[in-house]
Amino acid sequence: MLNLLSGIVALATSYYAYKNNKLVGSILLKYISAGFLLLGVGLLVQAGAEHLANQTPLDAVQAVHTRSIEVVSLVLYTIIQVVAYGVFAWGYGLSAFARKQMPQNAPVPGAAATLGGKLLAAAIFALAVYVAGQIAIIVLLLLIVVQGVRVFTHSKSNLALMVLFGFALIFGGHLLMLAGVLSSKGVVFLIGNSIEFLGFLGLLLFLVWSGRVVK
Amino acid sequence: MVALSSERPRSALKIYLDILVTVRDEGNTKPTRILYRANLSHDRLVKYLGELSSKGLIEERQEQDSKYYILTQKGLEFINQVKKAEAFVMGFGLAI
Repeated sequence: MLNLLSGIVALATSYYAYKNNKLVGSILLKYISAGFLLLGVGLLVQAGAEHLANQTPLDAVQAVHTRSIEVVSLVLYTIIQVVAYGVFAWGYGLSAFARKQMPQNAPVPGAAATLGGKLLAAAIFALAVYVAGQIAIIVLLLLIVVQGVRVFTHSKSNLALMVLFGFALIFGGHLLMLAGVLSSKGVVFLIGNSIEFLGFLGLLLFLVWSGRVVK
Repeated sequence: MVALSSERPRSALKIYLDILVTVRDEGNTKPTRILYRANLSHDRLVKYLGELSSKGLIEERQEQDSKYYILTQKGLEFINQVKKAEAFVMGFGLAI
């Protein structure tokens, strides 16, 4: 559900960036629109895959009965996120972000050693992709937050502060999610995911506030 | 690196906004008043007033020997759109 809501916020931000760019004509807004579009699509894809498989990507790297859909969706989602945040960073001068979800299920004993070995390899691969992707995302997000601080310091604008706050929460959320994965602590991951969602809520607040007519 | 708002010269869109806001605030506005409030040279003022009139955002009226401008409904809506866009881009450190 968090993924779905965050995806909707990301797509809404992409739309407003696209719409406002028709007036303003800024290349940065094009990058922002593209980045949020990618992010929104990735979040919705992930939410859909989780709903269909009735499992989260983290289950895919932890459960023995991993199915290809979890592995594929995890890899695809991570790649989309890295690209999306890379687009932000490129357009913003420097920066980025991402996400996920988690419960932990008890592993089911594998039917055969060969099948179990292949599934384990797939899970390890998915974990490696996820961790590498998250590290890249965190670095990009750090760049975005630094740029956001610079923007706010210069403009002293409440709107810039909202954007900075949103991205800072998303950055913090990803740090915790990565820590949760590496330490296999579901609670930590869940807290990180929730903090990331709060970051998207911050961006939603920014959208609403900036949409009010200002005299 | 993106240029921050105070480092950039005024864009055409910003000039449009300054002129339209002046006409909105003043009501029936004479060109001289727009010249001072929008901080424009005479040549640029003539140019931009012509553009805004052709786009239907302001209307030119003649009263006795005086010429003045009024804001159209379309111009008012345009101001609102640009103000919203300005608020949005400000969040990302841009200016219109």
